[in-house]
Amino acid sequence: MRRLTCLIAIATACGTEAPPMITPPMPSATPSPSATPMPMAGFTPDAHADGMPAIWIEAAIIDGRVHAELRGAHLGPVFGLAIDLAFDPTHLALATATSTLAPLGVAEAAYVETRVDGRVRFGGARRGPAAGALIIDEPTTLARYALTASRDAETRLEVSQVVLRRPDGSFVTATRAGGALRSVQ
Amino acid sequence: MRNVALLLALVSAPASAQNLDLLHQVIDIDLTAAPVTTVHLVIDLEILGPSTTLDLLIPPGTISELLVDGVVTAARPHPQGPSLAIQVPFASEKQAGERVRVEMTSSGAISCRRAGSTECFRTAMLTVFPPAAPAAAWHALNLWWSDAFTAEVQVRVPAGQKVITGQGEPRSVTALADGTERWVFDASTAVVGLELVAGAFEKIDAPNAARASAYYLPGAVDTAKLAQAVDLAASLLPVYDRLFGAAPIDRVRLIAVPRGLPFGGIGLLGTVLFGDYVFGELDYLLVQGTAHELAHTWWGNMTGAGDSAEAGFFNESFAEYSAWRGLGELQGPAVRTGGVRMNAVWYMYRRPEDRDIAILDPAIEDSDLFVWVTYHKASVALRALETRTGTAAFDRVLKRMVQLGVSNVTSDRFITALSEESGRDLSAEAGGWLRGVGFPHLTASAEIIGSEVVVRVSNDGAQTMLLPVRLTDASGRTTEGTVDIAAGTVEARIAFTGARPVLVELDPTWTAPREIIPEVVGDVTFDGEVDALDLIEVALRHGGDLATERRKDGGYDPLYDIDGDRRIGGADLAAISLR
Repeated sequence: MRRLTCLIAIATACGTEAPPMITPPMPSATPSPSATPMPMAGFTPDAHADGMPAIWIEAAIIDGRVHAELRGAHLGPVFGLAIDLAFDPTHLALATATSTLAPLGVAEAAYVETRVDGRVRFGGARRGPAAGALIIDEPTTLARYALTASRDAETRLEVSQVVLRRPDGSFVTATRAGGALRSVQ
Repeated sequence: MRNVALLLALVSAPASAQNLDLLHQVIDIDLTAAPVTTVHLVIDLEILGPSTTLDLLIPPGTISELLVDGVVTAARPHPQGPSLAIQVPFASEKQAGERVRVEMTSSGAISCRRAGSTECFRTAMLTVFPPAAPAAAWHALNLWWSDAFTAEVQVRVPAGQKVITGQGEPRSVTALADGTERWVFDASTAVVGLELVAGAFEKIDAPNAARASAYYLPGAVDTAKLAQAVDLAASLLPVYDRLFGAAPIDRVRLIAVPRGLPFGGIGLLGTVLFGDYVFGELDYLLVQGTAHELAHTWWGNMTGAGDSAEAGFFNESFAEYSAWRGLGELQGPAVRTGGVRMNAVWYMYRRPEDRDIAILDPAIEDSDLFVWVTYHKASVALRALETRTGTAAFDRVLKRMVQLGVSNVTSDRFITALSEESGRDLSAEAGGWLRGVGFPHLTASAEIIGSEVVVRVSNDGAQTMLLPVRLTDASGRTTEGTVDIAAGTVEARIAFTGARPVLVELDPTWTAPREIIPEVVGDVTFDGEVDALDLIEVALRHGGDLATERRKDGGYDPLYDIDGDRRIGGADLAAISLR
């Protein structure tokens, strides 16, 4: 198990979202009807509910590396969250340098990331009830990962678990959405 | 505050000359000539076994008349406590079944200061007599056992003073020709002690005709806080009535008396004396103090231990247990959890030099650990026994204890009732809590296997208990279970339906004095990993610390104090997040 919380210290956000660094979901090049069909690399997101607490994945493959973002919206006042990104370790592996954000604030919150085969759990919590909650209603990037994919893999990225807590400790259910990933190298 | 029954141990040598039962007293007290207090007592008693004396605390002033069955006699200092007590000799040895009447008049200035302590107040404007303090024994009190009596109390005071004594409103108030007033009260329910308060008290009644009032001296207290206490008492009374049996009182009377008495509060039958600081700078005592002292109506007045070594347990431990039970019913389970946890951690971590003594150790009464063990540990041990028997069965036990009445409760009867009402022999478990020292140190882990959570707990303490377990999934849905904690390592499988639990909590509502230690440091959710789920749990308790003042709830839970510095703070978050 590895924990890369130290990377959080270089997070760019102070409670606000950093500009997206990745392209919209693939495929970005729609094949011409006349062209010979080619295997297309890209990520096809599952649909996620709108207007309800939701965590979903947006991803793209750039230079052979999968850049995935965990996004959330309509989460309301968040005291703590823990999100599991799950994948098939026979096709995907977390890159050694993975950057995560500080979606609950930097000084006001603490974070931890843990990894086991095929799963990375990222989470954070405000530094005590006195720190209150941070409202996350607009679509917000919560964590950002880089993964290496094996050639010609058809696999999935999943949000396998979301734990969302209010300052009083109560739990909030959030819908989860992953997506299908196809790599061609 | 220790209740009246513990005052009975002023003379600690075993009884020899007295084996009798106080039946009824007529107490006629004149407070119109301060600093002089004049008391005329007529005491009717029944002889239970061969007796040659009636032993009494020293009355106010000088005894001017003393009659036994109409025959003049003279009191003599008690050989085992001449500075505290007197002996009233009988002309001949009395035998079981005989009735004796003792009449005594005493008069003089009372010195309420004794051995560096203020035991009463007595001025022209104010009289505060707690139950029969040695310097101001204004009524008779059996020095040898918790002996309940009925009484009539007649008090003569200057006009304009209000008198609170006896049980209930005065039977009569008569203006006398000399400008004074005579107040007459009944105490028709047998009790072991009475209070007497007189002065220019004002009164606050609970709203909506609820059954509680408070008395205070104008300017001495924050009346808003006093009103809060009155409202609370009015709300608690029906709760306690339901839990323990209806109290024979018309209403609760809270009386704020000047600070300086050697107690923060003392609870009698429906009446509570509070030091005025409870409604001032020490108002953190207000809620607990009101609930605790009112509970003494049942624990210490309607019932009590015959053995003084068990009096603390049946008075104070039960009153403290009842306080948080009642407050939980009124204000929600989190309030009860906070109060029980406060008691538990004060016992576990604030004992002097970590010394300990058993709850029912015969030496507990004189131990400097009395407070830690009797109030704080024992009240929580009762909570543990409630968990074991189930609340309904435990409530039946409580009612049985109250029905036993004054001086008839014993630990053996209590344990027998626990076993009978629960349907299992609890003598070993109850004995472990009451007669053993220490508390369980539980090392725990949990693992999800299929649709079950397997909880493993190792116990290095002498006590056994039923440990509640709560599983929570990501939607907040909970599954409750238990682990039957024995000596050594035990395992329990708790089935869940639906989503996998994301949180395992062991004894989340603090049902016992216990320390729970995860197998993996920082793994406060017991799932074998130290991760974001643990971080959230610690963050939710951030700011909790082990209080340095008794009865202050610091919100401390040692489970979340990863670095063991008695504070849940940034270092504990760092211990998880910086791994």
